[in-house]
Amino acid sequence: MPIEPGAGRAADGGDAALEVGLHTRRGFMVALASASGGLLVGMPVFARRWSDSQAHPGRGADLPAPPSTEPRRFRLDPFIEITPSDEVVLYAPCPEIGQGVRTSLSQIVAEELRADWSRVRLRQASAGDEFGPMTVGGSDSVADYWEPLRVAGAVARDRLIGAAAERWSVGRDECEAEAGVVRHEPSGRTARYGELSAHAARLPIRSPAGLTEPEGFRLIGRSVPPVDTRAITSGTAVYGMDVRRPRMRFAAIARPPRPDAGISASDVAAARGIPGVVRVLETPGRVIGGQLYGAVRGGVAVVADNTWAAMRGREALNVR
Amino acid sequence: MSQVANRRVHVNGRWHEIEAPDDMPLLWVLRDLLGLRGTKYGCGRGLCGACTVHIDGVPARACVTAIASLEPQAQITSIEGLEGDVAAALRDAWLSEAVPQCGYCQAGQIMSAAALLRRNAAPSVAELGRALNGNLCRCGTYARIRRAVLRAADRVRDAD
Repeated sequence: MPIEPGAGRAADGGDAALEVGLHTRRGFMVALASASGGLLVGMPVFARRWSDSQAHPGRGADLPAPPSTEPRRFRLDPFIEITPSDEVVLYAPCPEIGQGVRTSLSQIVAEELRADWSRVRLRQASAGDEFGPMTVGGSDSVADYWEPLRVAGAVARDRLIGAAAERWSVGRDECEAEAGVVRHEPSGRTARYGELSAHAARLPIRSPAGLTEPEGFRLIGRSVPPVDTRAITSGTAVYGMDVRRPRMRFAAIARPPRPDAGISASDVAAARGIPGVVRVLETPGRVIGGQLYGAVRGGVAVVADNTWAAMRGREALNVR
Repeated sequence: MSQVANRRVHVNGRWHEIEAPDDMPLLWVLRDLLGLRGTKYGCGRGLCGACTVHIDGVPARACVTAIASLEPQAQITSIEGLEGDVAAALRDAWLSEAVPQCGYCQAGQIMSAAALLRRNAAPSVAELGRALNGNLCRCGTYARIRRAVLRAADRVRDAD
């Protein structure tokens, strides 16, 4: 589950949902200019996640509650960013756990966007309620994001073509997008996506005329090299455990082995005596989401300067 | 209680000054003290191979190698410092065969495979199996790992 911690949260404008009406209620789009001057496309969508409104009462409060028979709707915002240097960044709302979504979701977006495959990057979106459960399971990821990502790619492509047409004062229908470049066929002029993205971000959103028919797929259905393999084999892929933050410390949590388990003050002192241990504190239990998966038992956390000291401190707690 | 001491360790071609207790495993020296986080924590008990590094060219489980147990001149290589023809052949083969899924165990797999190919560039499937036997992969990429190691071995032999 390599991740690239990073942005992925809308800086502003995220509530300005514009309905573009692509044959289902799931086709909502939001577009906004990114801080880098690039193009961002995000979208609130209906997703087929099983998570229910009881489990996430606060989610999607700005959107009308769907009928109970409808899948729950949540925001994915923003989805795509095109940087001035032509990099296409997709923010993935679901984690990679070896099922290959970082590659497959990238293929889906790149197909409709007519992106240069070699310039597509996928980053893990930061945790946030607007992304929904951010879980994977049940082979849902491609099915859930299949249409939203294709629509997002198509809308972004349409706006990039629109930007090129305005720049050249020509008709949109005379322009074609391919491999990260918009070309005006009659004159042979071309512009890279990165050159057009800032302009494209200011254009109104139009409903895509249609999505690519399967016979026209160039990336989808094709075996492509997984996007993470080089990072994995060089040891540079970042997993959850590899994330570091400024002044970060490390905790090991002892969970009670049975309902009436406890620790004594002397055990806490023993943990504090381990070199590198800075704090021992109780962590309350809580229920996040539903009882089924979301119950987190309370425990005692040993906070230390490094992982080994935290582990040694936890052993010293002698929970019984 | 183990002693916290100033130490020198030779990792990926250069000496590093660290301060660590005797019993701190090499894994945490690499990850937390030296910032080399390509070496992964799996089981912490030497059972899964995710933490495999080379000590003087020999594969070792960093999670159960106490820092004080290292010879003073021991040369440690982690995935970040794995270089040379064998390493390049393995990395390319890993890409060609699309070996990794989640990838968490793969640094350890490659370290074990590199140690094997450096001493035997023509391993039989049985020798390969023995050399990588302790490197577990929950995604189940074993068949692709085997193909990739054999592919890399071909390239290493062709280059000789």
